[in-house]
Parts: sequence; C-alpha cells; structure tokens
Amino acid sequence: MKTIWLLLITALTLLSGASRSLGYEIEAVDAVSRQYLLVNDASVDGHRDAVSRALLMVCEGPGISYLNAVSREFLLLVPPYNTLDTHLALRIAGGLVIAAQSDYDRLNIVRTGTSASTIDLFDAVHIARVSAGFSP
Amino acid sequence: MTSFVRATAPPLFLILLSISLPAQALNVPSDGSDGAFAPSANVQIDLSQAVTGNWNQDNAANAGKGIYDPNKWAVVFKYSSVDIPGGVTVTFKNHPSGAPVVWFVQGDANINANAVINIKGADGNQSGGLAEPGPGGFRGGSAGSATAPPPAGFGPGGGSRTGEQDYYGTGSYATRATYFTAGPVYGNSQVVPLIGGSGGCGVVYNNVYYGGGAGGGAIMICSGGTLTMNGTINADGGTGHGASGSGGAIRLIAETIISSGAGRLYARGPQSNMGTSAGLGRIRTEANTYTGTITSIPGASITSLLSASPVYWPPTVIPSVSIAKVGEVSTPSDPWAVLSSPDHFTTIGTMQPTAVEINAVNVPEDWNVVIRIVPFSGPDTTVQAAKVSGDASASVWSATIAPKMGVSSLQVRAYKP
Repeated sequence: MKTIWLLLITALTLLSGASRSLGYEIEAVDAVSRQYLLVNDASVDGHRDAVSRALLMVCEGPGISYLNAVSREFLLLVPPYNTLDTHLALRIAGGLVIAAQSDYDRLNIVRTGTSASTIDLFDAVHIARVSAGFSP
Repeated sequence: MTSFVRATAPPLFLILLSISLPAQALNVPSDGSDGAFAPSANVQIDLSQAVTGNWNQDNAANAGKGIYDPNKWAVVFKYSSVDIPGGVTVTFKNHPSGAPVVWFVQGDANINANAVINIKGADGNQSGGLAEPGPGGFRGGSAGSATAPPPAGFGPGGGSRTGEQDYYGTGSYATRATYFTAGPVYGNSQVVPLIGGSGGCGVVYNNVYYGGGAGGGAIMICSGGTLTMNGTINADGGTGHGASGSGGAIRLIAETIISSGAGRLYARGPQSNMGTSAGLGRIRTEANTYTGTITSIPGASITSLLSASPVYWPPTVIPSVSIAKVGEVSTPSDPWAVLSSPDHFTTIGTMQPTAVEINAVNVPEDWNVVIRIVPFSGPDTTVQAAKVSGDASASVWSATIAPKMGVSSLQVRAYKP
C-alpha cells in the first residue's frame, strides 16, 4: 500500500510541477489529472479486489487569464421634464429667449417636418405632455 | 503544495486530504489596525462607515470600520485576528459605491461551526424597489408596474429584458443560463479583480409584476496564519420572483486552511419562482496546506501559494475600461451607484443620441467593447463601441447611446471575441 501511495504522490507531484512551468502565456487555467484506479494483489483470502478513491487534482499555474474587463457602474441621469421646461420652450418658441445649444439638446424633441431644427410649439406641447405623464 | 480533491457530483467539491510541499510563507499586508474581530452576537458591518483613503494606511483612528479605497474599489479591513463564534451571523450594509469586502488578517481567522458570513444578494420583490446585492454585487430589477415597466438586472452579467416576452433574464457570472436573455459570463477563476454577481431582471407575467434577485456579493479573506473554515460563507444570488441573481465570489488565502468537514462555501445561482436558475459564482482558495473537508458550490478553484505575496489587486498591466465622458459631460472618477449621491453620477439634459467616450488600457484591438445601458425602468440595450484612436496599450472607444429619461446604469465590458 505504501508503494501505491508513493506512486500516487510522485505522479501528482510531477503533474503539479508540469503545471507550474506553463507560465503566463497559457490561457488554460485548469488542469485535471486522469482518474487513478488501483487494484491490490488478491493474495489475501477474502479480499479479491480493492479500488482507490477517485482522485482529481486541480493545479493552477500562476498566470491569470484576463480575457475580459468590466468598468465600474456609472449612473446616468436625464432629469425628467417639468413645467419649467415647458415654460422655457414656450418662451423660446415665442422669440422671448435665444436658445443655447444645451436648450436645443434638451427641448428640441420633435425632430420631424418643420419642427426638425427648431424649438417651437410642437416641442412645448410634447414636453408638457411628457411632464404631465401623458407621453413617455 | 498538492491538494487532492474529490468530486462527488459536480459542481460539489470536497477537499479531502493534503500534502504540504515547500512553499512561500504568506506575507499578509495587515497592520492589524482594525483590531480583533470577535463578535459575540449577530452583527451588521456598515461599510458606509469606512473612511475613504489608501487601503494600506493605518486605520487605528477608525478601527473596526475599514477603509474604502476608490482606486481598488474595495472596503478593506486590516484585522489582527478574526474569531466568529458558532451561532453568530455577520452581514453587511453596502458602501454607497457598492464595493466588495476584503479582510486582511494578521493572525488566525476562525469561522467556527454554525457561524455565517452572509453576503447573499437580496431576493426579488413582488412589489417595490430594486433588490440590494451583497457587497460588490449588482442589483436585481424591480417589479415595476403598468406605468413603469420592470428593468433588467444590473451588472456586467445582468439578465436582459428586451421586451415583454423576455421572462427569464437571469444573472450570470462564472456560468450562464441557457435562456437567450441571460447575461454574459465575466471575470476569471482567480477572482482578480474581486467582483460579485449580477442581478436578474424584473418580469411581467400574466400582467403580474415580479422583481429580480440581486447578485451575490464578493469577499476576500486573507489570513497570515490558519484559516479555520467550519462555518458558512454564503455569496448566493438572490431568488427572483422574476429572474434570479447570479452567485457572487469568495476568495480565501491562508498559510493553512482547515476544516472539520462543516465548512460551507456557497456562490449559487438560485432557481427563481419562475423555475429558472441563474449562473454560478466563483470560489477560489489559495493555501500551502489544506486539511479536512470543505463543501464548495460551485467547485472551488484550488491552488497553493505560489508567491509570498499573492496577486491581491489587479495588476496595472491587465485590461481595464472606464467611461470618460457622456456627451460633453465628464464622468466622476469614483462612480457610486446609489441615487442618494447625485454628485457621484453623471447628469445630462438630453434624450437625443449621445456619444459615450470610453477609455481602454491594455485592451487588444481585436477585442469587443460594448456598453450596456440599464434604465431603472424598461428594457436594457447593449451598444457596440468602435475604436477611435490609440493602440493596444491605450485606446479611446466611442459608442452612441439613446439615453432614457430618469436614471440609467451604464457599464462597459471588453472581452476577447
């Protein structure tokens, strides 16, 4: 039996050493040995056979497989439209306020037909509906 | 060191026997300034109490509360010793950044029989808000309502929700459910970087609204002496009324890991009330000597200590990605994921198509870079980014997203095709 254990330990140690020598360039990070089945000599009466426990060895080398990267989670807020947006859109549509680029980005939400590139009553009405919950 | 592992039925692994071979003595970077951790009753560690700073600074002035290091994205405790008695459960209240937990222990760490370290993701709600993950994990989608449809699961492996019929967007991590709306796998078996599981999506089924489970948390425990693991570390994902969250991550490092057979390491993706299971998390052990039996689900990645100073933190040479700008608005360097900290998220005024600028470091040029947008209500989208400039060492990528009104989660993932 001692011989069997020595054989096992030797085999597994060799496998372990082989795994360590793989180095960083190897992407595979798992190594599993074959399953060892050992049978004793059936010289003892009544003991016709014996089977070892199934042994699986996991040896992982020092290299780490960085096959992906994940960023931190960022929260992005687009503030919901409200009555102030409606008022501003109306004032811009009525020519009372000159729109800045940020106003175009936020308030020019109807971008078809004559409303494509201007903040007008279509935008103001749409914003009013959104802020009141009538439109998504 | 060579460890023998017996597999009874995958993914259940039992550590049976060990042989110690000459190996490096472990150098644990702990000054013990958080003191000894030895709770006598159930305790919740409030991670938001951690001071912000460099993880390796002396924490005697804030002993026991840890240090939040934004550069490492971790709340680090440098204990002199850990002894959790049987019957005591340790839970955590998340840091606003959602960071995982690291315990560097100078001496021995004893997690005694019937002691529990619980970093499990919360179960999904049948009504109400987002399910809270374990530290380092990601939220599950809320149940939603007729006027505010449920969202997808959050995190890099969050279950997708692309339409009313996509019922089973379970969270993924080390493994992925077969449903096409399940999230992608991510991370690696060495659990570097330390990151938790992802959430399951909310579900509309027969006009009833169900919340998804949150992802399990992530914890690294590193003991300079003997780590006695007779209790349970539970990093399971949360069970979804809708879809479940994936398991989180457990990484144990010690000179010697001992268990009488009672030790349990769990990072499972539970089956939801809809009958679908989420992905498994990751478990990793590193020690010079293993003695005894630990049950690990999923099966642990087991290794010896190949260095006196294991890779605790992601090296600078590995791939990393971050969001630099949304439109013309620069993003915070330390993004937090809670609504109560608006100064840590990015506000823009428009729902028009908006360019997102992504910084990539050490990302090979043939990799895919994608950005996932998860509104707090309604379906999620994933947009492919295109490289604008740079090379494999440092590059800038861009993707155009269609922001939705209200709050959305943005997260970038780069991966080898």
